Amino acid sequence: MAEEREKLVQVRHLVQTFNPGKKSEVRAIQDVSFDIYRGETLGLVGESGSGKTTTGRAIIRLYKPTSGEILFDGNDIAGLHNGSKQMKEFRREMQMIFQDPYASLNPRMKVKDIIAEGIDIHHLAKDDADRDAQVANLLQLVGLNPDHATRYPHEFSGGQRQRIGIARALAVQPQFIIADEPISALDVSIQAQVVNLLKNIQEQRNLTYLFIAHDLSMVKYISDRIAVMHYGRIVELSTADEVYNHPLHPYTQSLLSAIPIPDPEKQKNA
Amino acid sequence: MRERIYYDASAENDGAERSMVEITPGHFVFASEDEIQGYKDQAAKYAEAEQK
Ligand SMILES: Nc1ncnc2c1ncn2[C@@H]1O[C@H](COP(=O)(O)OP(=O)(O)O)[C@@H](O)[C@H]1O
Ligand SMILES: [Mg+2]
Repeated sequence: MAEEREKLVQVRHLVQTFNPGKKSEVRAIQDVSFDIYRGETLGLVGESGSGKTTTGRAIIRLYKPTSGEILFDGNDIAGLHNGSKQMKEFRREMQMIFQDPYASLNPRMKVKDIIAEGIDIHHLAKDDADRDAQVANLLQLVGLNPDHATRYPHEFSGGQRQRIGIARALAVQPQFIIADEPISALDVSIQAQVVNLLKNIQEQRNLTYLFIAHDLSMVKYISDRIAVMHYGRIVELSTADEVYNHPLHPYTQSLLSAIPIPDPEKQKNA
Repeated sequence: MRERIYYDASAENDGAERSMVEITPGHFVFASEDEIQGYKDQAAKYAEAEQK
């Protein structure tokens, strides 16, 4: 079934080396290839330092890949230059939600200006009233009170800040969102709410997600497929159920064995 | 309680070439030629266990 679906993102032989040739050289990504189908959530898991963030940042072109191809909607974006017109257009199609909702929101800006940053850059509002209306809609969409648009980030909790980050990402109406450990810094009690919000928005807006996490239990619920990353390589890739219930690579088995709470579904089957 | 399995990554430093191999439809594993059969056997065991 998956074979017939449209590929929105295709990563081919991606290599990302930091400080090449120097003593401090780091081969963060070593020849990684995978596809993301339109409308799906691909979970990317692995321990800290395995190269997940670098993969996300390379796809969204915050880094220029050392080598390899990244196709978005069929167009190779690995070679695009910063500041070019194509790069600007493509930047609108892809947005990132960051791990730390405290560090990723400018403390000196009002929430409405944080959310509208992309609207301003891409000239997506007719006038101030339209801009305010779009911000109010976005706040509502992420479950926040539109009356809070003139407040500052410090007035919000971690979970609320992450909702602001989600609203900011959605403001430019992207097709594809990279969520880099969006719930790792949040209270366990709030994590499920934010995941559910992301799921609901995905259905409403037909979004495609790359959802990064260090823990398989976090991605299992939201992901259609899961890629397991280890030392800059993907070692296993399949449907969420397959990876979770029928892991083949010993590294995946080791990651699964580290999850402290046994999966209720697994217990049922046992 | 499950027991923590530790993965010894030095197993990958055997000089063998590895690539993503489709072990069962849609299920890919980074494997060398020599490792493929082992993964196929394991997948078959999973399938067998589900039959029961
Ligand atoms: N800008 C950078 N310069 C040099 N090394 C980096 C940089 N970013 C990440 N790294 C290194 O690349 C490897 C992968 O990091 P990262 O992608 O952040 O992993 P993860 O997100 O899985 O924790 C690590 O060894 C990290 O130290
Ligand atoms: Mg990271």
